[in-house]
Amino acid sequence: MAAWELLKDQNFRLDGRKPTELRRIETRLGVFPNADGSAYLEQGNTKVLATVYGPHEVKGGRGRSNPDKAVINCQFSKSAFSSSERKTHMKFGRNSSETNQHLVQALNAAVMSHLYARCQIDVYVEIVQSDGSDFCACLNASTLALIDAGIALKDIVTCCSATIVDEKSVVDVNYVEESSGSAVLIVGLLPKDEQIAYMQMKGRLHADHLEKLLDCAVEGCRNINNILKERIGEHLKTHSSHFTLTRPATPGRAERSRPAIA
Amino acid sequence: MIRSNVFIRKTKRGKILKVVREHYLRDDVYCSFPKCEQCEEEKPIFSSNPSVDSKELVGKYLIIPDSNVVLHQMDILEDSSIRNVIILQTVYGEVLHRSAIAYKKLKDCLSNPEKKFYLFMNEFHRDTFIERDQKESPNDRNDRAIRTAALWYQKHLKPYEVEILLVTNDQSNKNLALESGIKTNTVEKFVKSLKNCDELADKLALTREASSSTGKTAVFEEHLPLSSIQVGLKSGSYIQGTFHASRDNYLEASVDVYEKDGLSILIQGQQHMNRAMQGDTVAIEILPESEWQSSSSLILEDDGEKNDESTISEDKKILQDISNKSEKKPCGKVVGIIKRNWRQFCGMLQKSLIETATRHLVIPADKRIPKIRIETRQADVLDGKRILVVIDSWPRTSRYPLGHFVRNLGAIGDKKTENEVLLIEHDIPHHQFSTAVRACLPSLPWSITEEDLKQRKDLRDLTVVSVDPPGCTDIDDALHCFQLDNGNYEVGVHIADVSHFIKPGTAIDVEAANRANTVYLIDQRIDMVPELLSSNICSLRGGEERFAFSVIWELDENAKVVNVKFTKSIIKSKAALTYAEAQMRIDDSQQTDDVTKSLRLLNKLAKILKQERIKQGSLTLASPEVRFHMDSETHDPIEVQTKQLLETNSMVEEFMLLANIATAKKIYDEFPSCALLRRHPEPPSSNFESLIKSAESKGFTLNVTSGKMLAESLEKSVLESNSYFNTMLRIMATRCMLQALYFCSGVVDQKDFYHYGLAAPIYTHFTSPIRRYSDIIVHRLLAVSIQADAPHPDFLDKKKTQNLCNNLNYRHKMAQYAGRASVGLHTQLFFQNKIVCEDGYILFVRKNAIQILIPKYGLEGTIFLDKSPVKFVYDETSGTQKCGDITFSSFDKVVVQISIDKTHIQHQKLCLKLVSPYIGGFSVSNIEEEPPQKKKRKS
Amino acid sequence: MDVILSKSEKIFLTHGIEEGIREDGRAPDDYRTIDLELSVVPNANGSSRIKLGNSDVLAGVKCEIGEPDPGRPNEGKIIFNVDCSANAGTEWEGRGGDDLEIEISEFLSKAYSNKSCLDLQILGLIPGEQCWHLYIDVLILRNGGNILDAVSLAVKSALYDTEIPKVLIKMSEKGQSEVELTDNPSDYIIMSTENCPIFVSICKLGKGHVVDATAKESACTMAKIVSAVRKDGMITASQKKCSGSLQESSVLEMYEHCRKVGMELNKTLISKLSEAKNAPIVGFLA
Repeated sequence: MAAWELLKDQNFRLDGRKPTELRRIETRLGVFPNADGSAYLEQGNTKVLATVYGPHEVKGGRGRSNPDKAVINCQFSKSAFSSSERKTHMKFGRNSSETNQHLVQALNAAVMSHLYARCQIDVYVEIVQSDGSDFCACLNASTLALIDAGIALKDIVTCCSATIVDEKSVVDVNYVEESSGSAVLIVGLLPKDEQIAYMQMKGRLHADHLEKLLDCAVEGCRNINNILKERIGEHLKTHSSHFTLTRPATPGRAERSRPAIA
Repeated sequence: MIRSNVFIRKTKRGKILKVVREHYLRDDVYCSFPKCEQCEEEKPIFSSNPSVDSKELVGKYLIIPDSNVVLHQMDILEDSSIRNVIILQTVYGEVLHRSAIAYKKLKDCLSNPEKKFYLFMNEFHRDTFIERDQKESPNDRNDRAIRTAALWYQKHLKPYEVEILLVTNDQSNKNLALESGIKTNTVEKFVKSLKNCDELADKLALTREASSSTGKTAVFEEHLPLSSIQVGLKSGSYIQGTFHASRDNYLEASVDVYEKDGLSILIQGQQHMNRAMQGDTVAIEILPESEWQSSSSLILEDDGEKNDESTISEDKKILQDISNKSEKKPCGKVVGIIKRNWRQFCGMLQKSLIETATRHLVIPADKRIPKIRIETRQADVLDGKRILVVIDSWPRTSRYPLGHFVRNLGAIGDKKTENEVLLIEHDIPHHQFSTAVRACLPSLPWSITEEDLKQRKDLRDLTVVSVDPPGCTDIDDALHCFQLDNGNYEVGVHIADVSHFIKPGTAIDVEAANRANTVYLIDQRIDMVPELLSSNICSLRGGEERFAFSVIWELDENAKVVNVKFTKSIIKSKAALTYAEAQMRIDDSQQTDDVTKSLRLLNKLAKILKQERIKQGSLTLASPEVRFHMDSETHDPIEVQTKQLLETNSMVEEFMLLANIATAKKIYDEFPSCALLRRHPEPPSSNFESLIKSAESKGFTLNVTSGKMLAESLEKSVLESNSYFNTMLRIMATRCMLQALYFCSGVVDQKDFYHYGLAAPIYTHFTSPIRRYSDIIVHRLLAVSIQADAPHPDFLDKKKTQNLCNNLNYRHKMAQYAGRASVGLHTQLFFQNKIVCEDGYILFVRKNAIQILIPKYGLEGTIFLDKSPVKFVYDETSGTQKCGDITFSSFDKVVVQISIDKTHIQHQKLCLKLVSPYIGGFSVSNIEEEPPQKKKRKS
Repeated sequence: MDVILSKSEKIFLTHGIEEGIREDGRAPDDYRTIDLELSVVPNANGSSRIKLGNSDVLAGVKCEIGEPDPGRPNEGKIIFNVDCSANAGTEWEGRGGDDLEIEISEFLSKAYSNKSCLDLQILGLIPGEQCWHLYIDVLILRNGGNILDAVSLAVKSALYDTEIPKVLIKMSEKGQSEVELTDNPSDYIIMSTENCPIFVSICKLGKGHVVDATAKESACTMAKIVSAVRKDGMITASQKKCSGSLQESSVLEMYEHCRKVGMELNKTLISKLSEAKNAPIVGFLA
């Protein structure tokens, strides 16, 4: 495939990145003041909004409540205009409910949910624009939103994808790379303990390549983690006043305005 | 820095999409000039004093060619005198999209450290990337990007006094470059300024301006643009296919239609062929049924330079006269060319009749390629030489395609030159092995280590023996056999363990995969793997310890397999024999040594196996094979013999077949979807029509419903009066067959695995890894199956395996053709100064010729009848030619005189003349009666 | 976002409005601050983001080639689709927003069904065979009251921003027409959006009525009239909402009010659109 010639010969990807380079990451915490926590994240052209509501009472019947820990509830959706080809997103389709479950699984590994027994934490993610590695951006944005909501986390769970092309592994795959047909591995990492919280792979991959690919994705996660940590730090510096206050757990500060980051 | 690429794209399904892609601009793209202090390049490409060997450009220069220069003047850029060239990413991208051939050459230049070509990623560089203006066409934008990059380089390297020369033939681009202060030149001027310009100037491709001589009338219809072709293909008004020019008749061609298997459309006359050439992908339009013709069985050659305009209508007349009215085939005409199959062509100069002319024609060695017009000032030098040329264009106004000279290969008739031609024409990679490949070789002295002994079965004590043709140095198989205590036999086939030395993905592996097989010419062998492996470390030489991959059977009295084992082993061959030597040992009852005993056992078992195989319906076919005896000094052939087949030949063959089939089963079991197998499809019954007809003429009925039936009926077709009849039938049957093919088991339906010729349900190649790449793959798969080796990811890639198979099939076919061509070449050399009378048999009777087979030399030739002063009458139903009371029909024995026709000094060919039966005014008398020097072709 | 208010809070608010005083200090005819941004979604052919007070709406227009309606072979089609994002609040999770989505998209279709709003002829390509379909997708990210008006502003702005790729109609030899892209990728058509209506919702609280009600004001609203108003004051669609009933005279009065406010708002929007077109895109980062 012509598109990969540059990678093979010159170690450049189609968009000008080197194999181990991430896309540009931009973040903003606290996008929606009415929510308990919210974040906006751009990973290249993949742009995601995430909001967190809760911890609050468990909705939809007592039966769902857990006396030992919080119930994490995720809803993922993708706007119709987010990708090149318009697709009306099936909110209740198999794909989105699968993604929902994956998000729940990954976040469960990170949230100290025993602190929020009998509570529910809602995480809503909306993909505004999509250009590959959608799930990674969703999970990363969710993490930021949870931090914005002040929910206790074991670690900043970060997620990154990788694929392998002609023996070369590339990190943080974009849409073109994703649709080339090679296997894509997605890893969610708890970097402090180097624990893998989430892992998914689609496509055929020879077992010999797995280690290389996994290393590549994990390294990507670490790098993303460093970037996110830095961004959270910056956010705290400019918004530290919010964190001196004890945050009410129920929506009470809904309409408070915040200065924007330039 | 980051920006977005936004563009609108139409998908295959007709959707129009807006596509947004990121495009990162960087600051770590370096200039690659060694003295540059700003850039941190680790391994700079350019020389620190990059000079051009030029009369005008004094000082340090780097050269930037634009896209069209790279696309069209690659032959100049490839020249070793052109070094220190910046290839811009913009140019690289355009070349990649527009020409696979130029791209490949460009890549070769870039990877050759000698050439000092550097790919500068200007589209990813912060300072050289430019945004397209709203009003700008993509081409203009690219030209501007090239200028921007040139300017950047100029500024960047100013402190080091390095100048930039932009080479472009685009006038407006040149002017704009000059305005912004970039030094530019056209290719022509640049080349002329060089010191070795004479050599290079001929390599200049004829650019459009030079070739479009205005005022000329168009000879051909215009080709349709690709967009209209696509519309036409979709609506069904045009058909896409591959163009095949006829070898025999330059006015005839056929197009194999892609979608309908086996449908081929006849194209008659140059007007309808409309500049299409052998192998091109073309769009054709079917002519109305009233214009359909039948293919003529004529043999026609384009025999001289003709005027552009006049001839085409004449051609039509010739064709109309000859085409008979029966059996009309669908005819069509070429409306456009989808993909050209132009490559480099070997040929000979046909000097223009005008003394001072610079335009000459080149007659390509491949008969299916039309003559090519080139411009050269060294016609006198090139006369009588084989030259390599390339086609640049074929405008409507020209009867011949326009090209340019690339390389002088040497004198015509010189064996080395002719061999080179043969290799180039058959696309056989024959360059020296690169340093990277040689680096993969084990170092000498090579010996077996303790570690090896642990991993392999030690079979050094067995009486292993190899049997090969004389002079064979790449011995890849050896055998052993002895009787077990239980009365059964243990038989072992030991194959050179080449895959031990060639690991997947290494340079040597890539090279071998590309070469695909060793090519055997009469006096030359083009190795697939370097000689160190092929003739030494892998070759199972007598008395030396070698690695082998062994298949060991227990066979019972009736040669039925009791069990089979595969193992990697170490063997020590006791003797490397030739077929004749082995035969002698078997026949000589005096000899009772172990080697001979084991040979006798093998021979006994092989006979049973062969019988069994023939019972299953395996075909015994024939093709005339010859051996040349070479003069030890001149290396010219001094004698020709047809190859003799001994019992030992078939003995080795039987066990190889047995090993191949056993391996095929094993790897297919282990890798059901990615085993590399070999199949031989059953030919469609239509292929046999002429064979059946020929056999019928002698009163035999052939049953072709199955391979077994065919084998049986061939067996019965014996003519007392003509001992050669059966062999000829078998030769003809061979030509009805389809090619056997390598394939990946996952892409073909299991019912199609069948090997028709061998009557085997599954088959592969395992026994010749030194000379066939397929066997290396099979070895690797088998090694994984028996846990002797670790799997490689590529083994499981169906697509990659199939792509590999396609290359293997292609190379296999080309190697066969090359082998035949080599025989032809040597036959010609053999007859160079001889005139010989020999017995021959009529193979086919054509409308204007008879084709004759001369068994002694395995030679085939044509005697033309249509130009003879005596009238021949062709009877189509019986397939005979009549002249008076003499009738020629297939299988008839004739006596012919063989000589070399030197009337065309550049195109010598074998010439046959009829001696007996004698036809007055047509036949020649026996040589003794005529002075040989004055032989003129009468037919 | 539904807000739960006590009875006395409601009375307090209503009384204030009857006096012409609103909780945030606006006059009855005042809109809250409107933030407008265009081309926020590069993947769409046109897009806009409107922040009306606390309401936040994203609209994207995508052009696709499809078949025209048999009854209107020469015209393109516009299709509205509204999505209430769960980001706005837990009550829109799952199917929570379905009713509102349908309500808004139906009203948009109604308002734009008038021929004078958009020139659909411009979207026709091959009569009876191919035409442009404009998919207008609205994503409601936050509901801070008066979401309908905000949606209509976003839709009109997104349409203003829409660049439809220019295509050529080629005739094949067999007389079939084919759509081909032009060579110049920056060739596009822009539709005139001058006559696109915007919605004005007038809420009746007690005896007074206000435009652009906040979430709290909405909670006290007895009756509401929504009208799609063109810049010339023409109303292309209208709908009464909420449970309370209205006298004929107040309906007429409210209509007149809608027209007046609508014309004004249209004028402001149109003038701001060209400004926004050239403004740098910040999206959600600011």
